[in-house]
Amino acid sequence: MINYISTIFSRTASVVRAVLGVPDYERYLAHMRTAHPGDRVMSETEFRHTRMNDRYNRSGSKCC
Amino acid sequence: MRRLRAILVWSFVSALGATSFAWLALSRGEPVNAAWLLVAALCTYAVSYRFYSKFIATKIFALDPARPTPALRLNDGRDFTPTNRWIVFGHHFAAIAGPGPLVGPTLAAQFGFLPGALWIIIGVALGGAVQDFVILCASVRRDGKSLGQMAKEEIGPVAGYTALVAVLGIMIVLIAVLALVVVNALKASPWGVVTIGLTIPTALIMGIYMRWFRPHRVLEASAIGLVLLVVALLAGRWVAANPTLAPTFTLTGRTLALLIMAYSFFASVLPVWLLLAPRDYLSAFVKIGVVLALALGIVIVLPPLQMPALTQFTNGTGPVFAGKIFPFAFITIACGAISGFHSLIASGTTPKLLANEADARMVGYGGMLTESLVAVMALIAACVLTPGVYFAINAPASAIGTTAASAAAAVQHWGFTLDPAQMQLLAQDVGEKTLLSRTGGAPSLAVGMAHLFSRVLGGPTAMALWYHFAIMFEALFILTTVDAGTRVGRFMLQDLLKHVWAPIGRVSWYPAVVMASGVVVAMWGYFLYQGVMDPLGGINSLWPLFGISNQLLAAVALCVGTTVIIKMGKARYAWVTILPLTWLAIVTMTAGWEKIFSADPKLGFLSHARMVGDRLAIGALPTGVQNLADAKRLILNDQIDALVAGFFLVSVVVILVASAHEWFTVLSGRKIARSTEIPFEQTTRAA
Repeated sequence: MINYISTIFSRTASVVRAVLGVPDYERYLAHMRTAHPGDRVMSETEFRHTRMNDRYNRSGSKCC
Repeated sequence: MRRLRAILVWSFVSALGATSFAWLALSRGEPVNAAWLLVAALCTYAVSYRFYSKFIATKIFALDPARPTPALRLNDGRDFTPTNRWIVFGHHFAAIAGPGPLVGPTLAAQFGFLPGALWIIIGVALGGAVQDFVILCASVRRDGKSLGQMAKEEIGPVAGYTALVAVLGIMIVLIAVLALVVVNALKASPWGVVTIGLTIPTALIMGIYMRWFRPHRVLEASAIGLVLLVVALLAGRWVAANPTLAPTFTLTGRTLALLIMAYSFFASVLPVWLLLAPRDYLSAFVKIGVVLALALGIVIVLPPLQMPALTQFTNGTGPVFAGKIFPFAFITIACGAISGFHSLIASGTTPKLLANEADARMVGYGGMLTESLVAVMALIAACVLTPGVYFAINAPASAIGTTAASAAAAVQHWGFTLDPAQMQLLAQDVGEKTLLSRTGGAPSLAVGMAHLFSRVLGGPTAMALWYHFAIMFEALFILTTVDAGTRVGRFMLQDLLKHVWAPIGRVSWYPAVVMASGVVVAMWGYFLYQGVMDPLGGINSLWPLFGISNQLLAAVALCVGTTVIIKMGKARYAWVTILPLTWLAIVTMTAGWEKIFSADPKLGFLSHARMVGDRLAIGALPTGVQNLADAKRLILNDQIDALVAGFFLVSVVVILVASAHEWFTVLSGRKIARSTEIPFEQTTRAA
């Protein structure tokens, strides 16, 4: 039961994060492992910062 | 059998929608229940989604789930990532839905509820949703290219560069008018000022928490932020009730304008993680929460619409903004019916997330229908107020004077009733000194929302809390658009200026960053300040400018859409985008022309400048102006506004001519219709 609730909770949380547009580091890691094995991988902080800067530095992320 | 059932269901939905429209249009004298408006909207959305968006999806773009999207082909774990369609929908909706669909319908309610309702509902089905959907499809088929790139490649470099400069111009006007809405909502309101002011340290705390205490825990930080927002709301009430503190936080429009400029400058210069990102998360939560609450409130209360279907102000004599129902109803409501800004998002983040191109229909067309529903709800919230109260809040002091008695007299003169004592009482109920001439739409929407919410939860005693909650929500996410917009404007400016002097383009070189941010803030700050000082209230001249510029961008997007459709060899279906384009071209050109050249000084910028000049020539000052310097500045402002409107009109013409030229060369066979779509190769899917 506790397991079930915590799964539901973490799933909801990841959906909310995705809707908010929070950068998803896990997915990036997974992508790098499968698509570019051996390439340099950004650290979590580095990844999140470059993603965030990208988002707020271009038009087309916010509207009236 | 299934077919028969479908025919029956859709006939019923259509009939229900048509009946609701008839009920809305034909009822005279008696208040109509908001339910009819809601049902008319929902039925129209359902029918247009089921049939019209399907027509566009199958006949024009032939959307094919088997065709790999950019997210699949170019997956980089960052920008391009295949994402569940409901998440893309939520993300897209959160990005497109801003303060626009709330403010526009509130202002347009001066014509009565019917013109706004019809334009929002029909405009979105045939215009706004079509634009968003077509641009999204075009971008998905072109590796997620932006609107500017597509304009350049599909129509030509002239159209491309015009679009680029126009976007910057639109951005400036948009930020200025939205900031003005916030200034008018917070003016002389210590409660509002303290609450909104505290959202800044709240964001800083969230940013620091996510950086050093619990790195990357966005949801935890947001939960803390939401709690702090409630604290801010209560702190505002405490300050407003405190006789020594309240005067300190009772600010004038001028001071507030300067504070917002300073805030936006810092938001543009400081790192994003510290201020911008946490504010954005917070405002997304509040936004979605309030939209749901508003929907719930309307459905539970089902209020009658106190505003008549049509008021006498359709003739252009309205106090909220000048101009006749045509073209100004269609300019005042942009977001919610058709909003050019959406094309930037439909060609920005969204096309890079779609895992299946068939989802574009739900995300593009469906997302815009949802925003339109928000606009309908805002219209309802504005129309639950009696016309007397609505006009007392939204008309400038030059029209209704500064006392409840003078406002009541003016409202009576217009044929509505307003009890001065009741107006005082209402201001007291919502915890404000006065609600007279709180122009800009935000306060009247907040009163409407407080009215609805307090009937569901808390009763009359909760009115003040609900009112300031609504103001906080509006200001919070308007300021999120203002600060993010300033930052984007800074990057666009740096990008333009680097052609003049390369080092200015360096985005991490501090002198360039500070300079470009300062210039952008100064540009919109100029319009904001002029609006604050304007004796007619500022919204009167700035909101139409914003509407015209937003519709201009929509015209650009529809030109791009039409060109794409023609080059696909689907010219026989090009009417889908040409229809709204024609309407928008007529509306923007007429409105722009009237704003510049109308002989009525309330409407035309140039005739207003002439009127002020004439007054000065006989040694008198125009009403509401204190000294000669202010009067001279008024003339200069009018001339600049006329120039800006003129620039937007010229841009429309340039892009229309360039597009039409391209269409005719393709259709006449002088140029081969060659689609620039990334070709569909089945093999890429298997790989």
